[in-house]
Amino acid sequence: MWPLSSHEDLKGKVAIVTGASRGIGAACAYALARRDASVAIVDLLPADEIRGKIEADFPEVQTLGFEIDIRNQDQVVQAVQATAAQWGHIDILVNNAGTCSRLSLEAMTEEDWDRDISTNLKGSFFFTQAVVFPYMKEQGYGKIINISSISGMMGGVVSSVQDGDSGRSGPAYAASKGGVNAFTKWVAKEVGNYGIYCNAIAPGSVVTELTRNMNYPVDNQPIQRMGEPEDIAEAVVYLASPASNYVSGQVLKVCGGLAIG
Amino acid sequence: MDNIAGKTMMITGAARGVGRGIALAGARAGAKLWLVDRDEAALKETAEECRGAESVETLTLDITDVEAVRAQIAVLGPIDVLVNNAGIMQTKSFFEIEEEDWDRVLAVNLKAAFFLSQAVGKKMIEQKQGSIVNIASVAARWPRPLAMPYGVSKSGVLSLTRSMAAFFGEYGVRVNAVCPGAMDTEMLQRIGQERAHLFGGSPEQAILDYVGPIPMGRLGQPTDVAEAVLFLASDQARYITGQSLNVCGGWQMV
Repeated sequence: MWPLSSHEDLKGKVAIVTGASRGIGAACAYALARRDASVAIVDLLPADEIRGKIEADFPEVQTLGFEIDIRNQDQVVQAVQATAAQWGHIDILVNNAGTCSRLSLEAMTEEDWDRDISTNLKGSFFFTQAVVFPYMKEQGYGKIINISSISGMMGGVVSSVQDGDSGRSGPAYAASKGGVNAFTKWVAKEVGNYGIYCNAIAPGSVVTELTRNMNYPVDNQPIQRMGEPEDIAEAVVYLASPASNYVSGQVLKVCGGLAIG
Repeated sequence: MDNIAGKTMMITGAARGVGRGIALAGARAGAKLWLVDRDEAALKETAEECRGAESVETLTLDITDVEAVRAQIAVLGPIDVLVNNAGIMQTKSFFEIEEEDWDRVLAVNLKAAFFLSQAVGKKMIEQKQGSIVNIASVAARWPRPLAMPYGVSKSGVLSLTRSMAAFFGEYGVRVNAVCPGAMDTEMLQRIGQERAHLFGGSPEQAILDYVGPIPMGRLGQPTDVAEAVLFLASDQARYITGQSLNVCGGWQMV
């Protein structure tokens, strides 16, 4: 692992990371903890494993765990309030939790559509609203990082390109991630004068549970491998730290050059 | 500690403005610096301010002179990071632009970035690693009706970034761009003076009219761009290539 930059010291900062029990979210929580931030782990699944890893590797760092459904606004608000009650403030929010139905347009169901849009887009809205008002606004500072996807910019890989009746990203997933990018920019404009920054990271294919057993050819991208969760997490650290204090409303693609430009 | 420490970093246009800011940040991060500029006196001054660098060397060079660039780079050792920062801008109305205006802006902002990348890229391919960061501008994706050669040159820098990322990918060399917004530098002062000359009024008011509202409520400082450069140049950005990042306080979101 690379040495740390002093400009990314997050000692005394409080971060909330959604979908952080595994995958990209867990890597984000770990990378933020490595810079001494306190981290609240939010997930549908138990957070014991990643919390244990963080506390073992960084004994000075405190963590919290919230086993909640981010599609439920009451649960989101309670988790945010409990985090603020524990540590007094909230400085960083990483909206990472996501689901991906891969059904074709023809096979897509209302249930799958609602699950992806509600988790990926509405959940990000719930958390963003709950951390800005009142916490980030009152302290005049905050860093919000939304994890979108290059499929939200390029449309993703559709079912006709894959074998069978499902693609690598379904219509609801691509639409939700495009929505996250637009939401990011809207929020950046709205809350900039409170000293709050809002940016998105658009990963390409990353080795996680979400992509397990899926075929992602990488031969045509400049960096010919799938991404690792740590690749995304390091970009999150940059956008969470004072090093990026003139960057807002941007979507940074971390995709090995798959989506170039 | 910083993950740019010990790396050899070449910065063009390093004497002043954003380039100087990148040089100072590279020094704080403990890089070995090669600072390039035409202005020898100003370059020496910047070099003296570069505290914390593992080493600081200066190269007084007109980077639009392709033969000179090739000859100078060939005799240098390895270079890990190249920052193509040197750039000029001229505010001039459409019908006033002369051939030499066009050629000069395109030569410094675009042609020099290409041929320097060609010369340094050869080393990076031999080293099987390297990172190039081009300083473009939000003008690359936004109209500049009073600075058309500049806008064209910066769009060209983004095209160069994308194509070089695709070309260099298999050799382990990454290429990205940073697009600064309205920066608190001499260039912005000059924009104010030239716009005041065109439209009347004070340079200060001309700058305010030109910039308009910025979501983060301030002009950019060279250090803001420098931090983005260090991030993209470092291993932290090891999966990022062919990208451009606006460092503009939310001034532009496309």
